[in-house]
Amino acid sequence: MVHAHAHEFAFAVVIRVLLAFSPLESFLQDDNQLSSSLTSYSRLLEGVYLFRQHGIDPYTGGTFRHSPLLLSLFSTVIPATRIPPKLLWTFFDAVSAWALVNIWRSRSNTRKHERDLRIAAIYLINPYIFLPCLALSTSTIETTLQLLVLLFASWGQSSPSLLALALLVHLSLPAILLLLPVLLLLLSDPLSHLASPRPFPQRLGKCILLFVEFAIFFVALLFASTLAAGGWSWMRNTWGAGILLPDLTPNPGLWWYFFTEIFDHFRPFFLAVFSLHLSVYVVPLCIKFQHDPLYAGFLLLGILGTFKPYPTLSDPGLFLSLISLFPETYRYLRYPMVTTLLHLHALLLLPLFHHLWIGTGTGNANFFYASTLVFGLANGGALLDCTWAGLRVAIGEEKDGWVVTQE
Amino acid sequence: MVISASWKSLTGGPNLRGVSTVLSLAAFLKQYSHWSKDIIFVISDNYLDGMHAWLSAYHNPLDFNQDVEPLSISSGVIWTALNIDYPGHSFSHLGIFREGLNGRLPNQDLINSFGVISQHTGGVPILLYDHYEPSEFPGREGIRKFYPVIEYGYRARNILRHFAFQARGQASGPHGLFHQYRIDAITLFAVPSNGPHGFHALGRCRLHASFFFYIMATPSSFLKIGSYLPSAVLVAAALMFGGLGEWVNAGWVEVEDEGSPPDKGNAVDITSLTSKKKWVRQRRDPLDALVVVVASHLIGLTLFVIISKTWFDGFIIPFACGTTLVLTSFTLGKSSGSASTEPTAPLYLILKVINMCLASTLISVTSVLNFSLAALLAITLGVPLSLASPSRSLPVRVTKYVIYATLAFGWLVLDEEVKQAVWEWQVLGVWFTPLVCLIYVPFILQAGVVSCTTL
Repeated sequence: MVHAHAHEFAFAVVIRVLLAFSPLESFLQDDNQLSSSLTSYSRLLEGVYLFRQHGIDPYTGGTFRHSPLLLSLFSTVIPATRIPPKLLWTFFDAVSAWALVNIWRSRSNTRKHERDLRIAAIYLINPYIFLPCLALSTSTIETTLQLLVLLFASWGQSSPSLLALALLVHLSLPAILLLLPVLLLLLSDPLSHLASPRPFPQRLGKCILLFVEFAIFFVALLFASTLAAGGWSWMRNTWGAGILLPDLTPNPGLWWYFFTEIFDHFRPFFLAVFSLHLSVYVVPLCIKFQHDPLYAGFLLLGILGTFKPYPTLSDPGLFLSLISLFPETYRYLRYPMVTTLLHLHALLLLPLFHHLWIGTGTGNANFFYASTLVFGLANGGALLDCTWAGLRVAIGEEKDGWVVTQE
Repeated sequence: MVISASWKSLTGGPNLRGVSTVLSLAAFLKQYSHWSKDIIFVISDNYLDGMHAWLSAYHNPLDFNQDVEPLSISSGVIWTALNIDYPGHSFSHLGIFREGLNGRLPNQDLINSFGVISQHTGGVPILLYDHYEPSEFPGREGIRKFYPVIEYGYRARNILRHFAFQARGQASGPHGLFHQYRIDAITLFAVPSNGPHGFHALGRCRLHASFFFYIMATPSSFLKIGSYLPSAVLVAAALMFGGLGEWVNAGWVEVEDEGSPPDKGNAVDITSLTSKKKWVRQRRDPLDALVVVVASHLIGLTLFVIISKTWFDGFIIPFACGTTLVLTSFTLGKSSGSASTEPTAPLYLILKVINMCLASTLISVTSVLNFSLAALLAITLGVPLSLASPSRSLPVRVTKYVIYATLAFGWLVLDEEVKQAVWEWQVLGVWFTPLVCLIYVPFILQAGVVSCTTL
């Protein structure tokens, strides 16, 4: 980003810094849509306080669910005062935008491109991205890591990519689903092959070595975490939360309401179903898009944003921003207008119904749940349309008198 | 709970007996120690602003355009409030006023309980507002004793009065200021009359003490959310489908078919016989239209800032003319400037799509917050936005544009109303003024721009 459009990019970042120092933050920090119980900055501060001031293991309670890596980072290197976190979070978003632009460059195989600025701008002004960043939700860090994983994988640098992925999985367990597309991407290239599907060019045996490398990083971080937390109890509170769903604080996802309503004796069964459901997409998507693993990774991010256990707005926001990497699919999208309008409705309804429920007390949980369903519909719509368009590119332009149908 | 009386009455005169009722009730209750902590008596200046000042001092909100002295003694959370408005010397009925700021309503249980208590322990009949119930006057001849019509008229009056308060976001009495702090409150208005009830009856009405979405037609019956909400949502859905329809239209253009291939086999191809035209896809670029949308909302913002100033008198008409001219010329310049080889959808179509879809979204979202306002928006936006269309002849375009400009800025003529609305926004925080300036005016202006485009 140093050479092209550096000043526009700097301008966007300056605006974001100004926004970060606006008084908005106090309204946003504890908003349920912007930070879930796994990514809330207030809870992180709580854990750091218990850990540092009183030497209490924060994982013995039920409020602190961040990874020990974040705990050790914020109790040693980064002072948890007012100013540094704001700058740091804006910096994370700038890095994300930079990574996104560079993924685009390596996909289009150019050094600079007229779309660079537009891609960075779409990312930086996307409300799903910058609102969680203003709220200092740690999901911003996850987003940055997700983009770095894809960037290094696009550059073919296996070690940085796998290390970033291992870190990411430590922060958010569902991201493990990205492992397979990232391995495939490392073995092939990030160029667009959507128009010309082909069998996967490399032998899959090479995956094993990369997987072993990932496993080594992962286990090393595992021990580092255990060392920092002084025991194994962190696992149940961080990763376990994503599987056992102990905290039913509302969030824009589809899990919490379902599990507040369900009878307790069905809970284990449906927890298994929901988790399995999340993982069944990986292999089919990677097989179907074996010619373009970056696209498979993109669709998996969309699935995570729609169906993961504790999402915030930045998860679907990342998916929506990534759409800008695939301009070749735009003309085959079937209902972009409908998806946009659904997102517009969701964006207005989520805070409104949350306010009616929590603020004025004239609504109840069902209102907010209804708006999360609209949001889920919008995300699902975008995901289905992108899947269709990604497959449809291969068939090419429709000729007069011919119709492409799906059976 | 709070029992209050404002110094001024709904009728404009002093709330003489309301204040004295509160004072005597306070004197009486002070003898009972177990009530002394639970009931707060407030006698407030003026009609609304005095109570607003007291409430903000009690709850410490963030920003406020009134000078308020801090309260030295405060109590805990307030749950319920009852405002007493009793201007005459006797009364015949107790009228219930319930609408709060920005269309908030108190829990319907409060009104129901009050109705039951008033009628059974006090023996005082209750009304909605100060509308007499027709069934109480069987002798009075309406439309030739045709009772259903009279009943319908009565219910319609109640609903229309409710609609007027709620859509404007106005409070129908000092009780309306309580709702923003999650306190259920109503005003009891002692309808002035020569009798039969006096102080004694009001003293005997005691209130002990979920629904928030209702429209009351009579004191004892109400419309539930399912029976009124669809009306506004259906208009919003119609706008949405209209917008999506225009979006599909914008994607296609009919062109002359040059060099159509000769028919092979199929001798009877009707389309090729009747015309040499065919439909081809065209590009739809929303960016230019979005610029117009943003520009018109900025005009709305400027208008809002200007009318909030004290010096705004008289500037308004030139402002309105000037801005509309700027917007129009800008749009026309934009639309004529496009010279692309690829067929592109005209600006006005895309603008109309965005306009209708945004309006639809807004109406359906507002309908759960403040139904009357949503219904008002549905009426005022639905028709003008749907009918906006370009035309060939210049006089028609000018006429249309004048109509839209009048719709957008005509309300500025009502000077007193505007001042009242701005005062309500600045002091009480009623959203009506910003909503009109930032939402209604820009949407109508966009429709005006669509209408003044030449085909």
